[in-house]
Amino acid sequence: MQIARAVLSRLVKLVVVVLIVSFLTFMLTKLLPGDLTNTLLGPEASGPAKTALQKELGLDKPILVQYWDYLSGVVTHGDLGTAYGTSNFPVKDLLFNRLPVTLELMLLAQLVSLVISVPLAMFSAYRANSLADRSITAGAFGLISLPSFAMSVFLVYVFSLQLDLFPAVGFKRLTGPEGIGANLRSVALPVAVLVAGVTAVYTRLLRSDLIATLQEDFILMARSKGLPTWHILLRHALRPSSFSLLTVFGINFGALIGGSIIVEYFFSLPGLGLLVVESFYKRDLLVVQGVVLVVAVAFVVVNFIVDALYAVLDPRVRRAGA
Amino acid sequence: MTDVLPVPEVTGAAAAEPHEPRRKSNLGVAGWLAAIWLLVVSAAALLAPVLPLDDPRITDFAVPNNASPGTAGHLLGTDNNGFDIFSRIIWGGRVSLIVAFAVLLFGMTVGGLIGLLAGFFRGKLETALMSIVDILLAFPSLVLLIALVSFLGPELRNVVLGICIVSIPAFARISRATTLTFSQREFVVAARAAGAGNGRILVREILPNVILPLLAFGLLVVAIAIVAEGSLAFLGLTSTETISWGGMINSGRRPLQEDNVAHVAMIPAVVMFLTVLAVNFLGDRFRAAFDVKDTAL
Repeated sequence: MQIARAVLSRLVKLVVVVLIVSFLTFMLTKLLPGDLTNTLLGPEASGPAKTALQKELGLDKPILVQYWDYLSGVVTHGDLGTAYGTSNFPVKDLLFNRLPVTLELMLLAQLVSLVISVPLAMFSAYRANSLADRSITAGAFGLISLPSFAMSVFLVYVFSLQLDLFPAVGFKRLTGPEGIGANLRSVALPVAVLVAGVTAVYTRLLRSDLIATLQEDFILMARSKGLPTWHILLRHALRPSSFSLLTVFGINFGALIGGSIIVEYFFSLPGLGLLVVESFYKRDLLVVQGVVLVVAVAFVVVNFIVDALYAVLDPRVRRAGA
Repeated sequence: MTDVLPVPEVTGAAAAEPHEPRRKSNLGVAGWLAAIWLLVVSAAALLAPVLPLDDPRITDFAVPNNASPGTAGHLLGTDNNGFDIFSRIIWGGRVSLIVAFAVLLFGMTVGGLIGLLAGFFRGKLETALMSIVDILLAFPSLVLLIALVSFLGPELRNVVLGICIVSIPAFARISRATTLTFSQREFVVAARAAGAGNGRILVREILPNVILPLLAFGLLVVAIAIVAEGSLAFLGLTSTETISWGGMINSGRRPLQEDNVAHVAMIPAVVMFLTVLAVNFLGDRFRAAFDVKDTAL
């Protein structure tokens, strides 16, 4: 019962946040100086033509009614409006076209980062304060201070210009004629840029939590039972040490969105990030609005799921129901 | 990754422990190098108008574009517009300097005040203030920044304002957490028993204790703010009138990827990296001195 109530109150909070976020995003285009009709008809259009168009687009209604229309359009048939830039595309279709690229980048980055950082952190924590540990910590610190656009420059310089291993720019579709190999090669450097930053954060975090866990009595107990080190690290220490990692894993989707915008622009990958930047140039704010809405809502939902995952990882949370 | 603002934990654990004797800040060799680098960059940026530099906005037609470092009076070469890179690096430092101080002056003041009031008065005020903070945090920070700049316009003033707004939640959370722990302490109770009002307690008892951890944390936010401005300029979302390291990297992108010319993008990338590294390093040291934990960087 308690659990149900806790989940329900979280859900209510989630809905409220989503509503406010969507309202703010909606207001983005409303508060702009000069209205949509100017953009669509040009500054020299006559007054009556503007009024007619305003009526057609529903711009003469009160702002809350407009918001309601927008929201119900989004919810019932995913209608995010029509891009009024050069292409008269529904924003929804643009988003669906671009989404797979960004998703591929983010998922690959998260996956590779976990695969690298978990063993690295375990090694580092087990050998705390050794030379290897201090090098790993220093390396992670350096990587955290490396902006992704600077990292992109360095990686392109080494791996494209000097070693000629990966393409410096461009994207090959997964479903393209050259198949998965070409696709992975074209995203290798962008993903590496994202991985560098994310891995550094994960390693630092997991290392310090593991060091704390390794001081606990149950670890001493396991050790005195003669269990092998890898078994203790993997089966006893990892799970109770992974809470901050889990939180940051969720929050990092936000950072990765930012990182994706940078690398998609740098490497000319046709994802959501490049779409935002291109639409920004064209002043196509309905597209910017659509992307911001989708990204922000996805981000809120991901963090909600991460919150719920605590209960799976930690029996204490499960019992308390909060 | 420096693209996201650190979100300090909301628990009181993030606060300074006043009983622990403060370690003397021992900078070490790396710390001194970092401090010297920042001093040099800042001094050069401040003095840019009086230094004997080439005009950063004038094309040198005597040398080819993308001239390599050391060519005819161009210490670091020229970029794809034939502008002198050395001079643009120094002028570009001004923007980072402006962003750094704006975040410390504006973001820290507003965020710190929100956290102070929320942590001290609790109740409905806290719920209201922290809801605003949580809403701001619901947006990925670079996305929020792009949305703000597309709304405010790409001029430097608006970009700086946008970055300050995005920095508020981090400061608010740290300040609230610190205030929470201090407002329960004996010296506050004593002050109240002596008849001090809320205003006096806030200003004379709590503020002095909150401000140091906040400042130490502020340096980390400064590093992120510098990267944020660099990101926007790199994406070409800020005014091209402004000379910025991010913008320089952007203009070096094509030479790097298409003409195999690396230095145009490489030099500003290295300068940016060293600067962010130096700020982060000093921030880390100060934070260790005041024991502000980075639970979720």
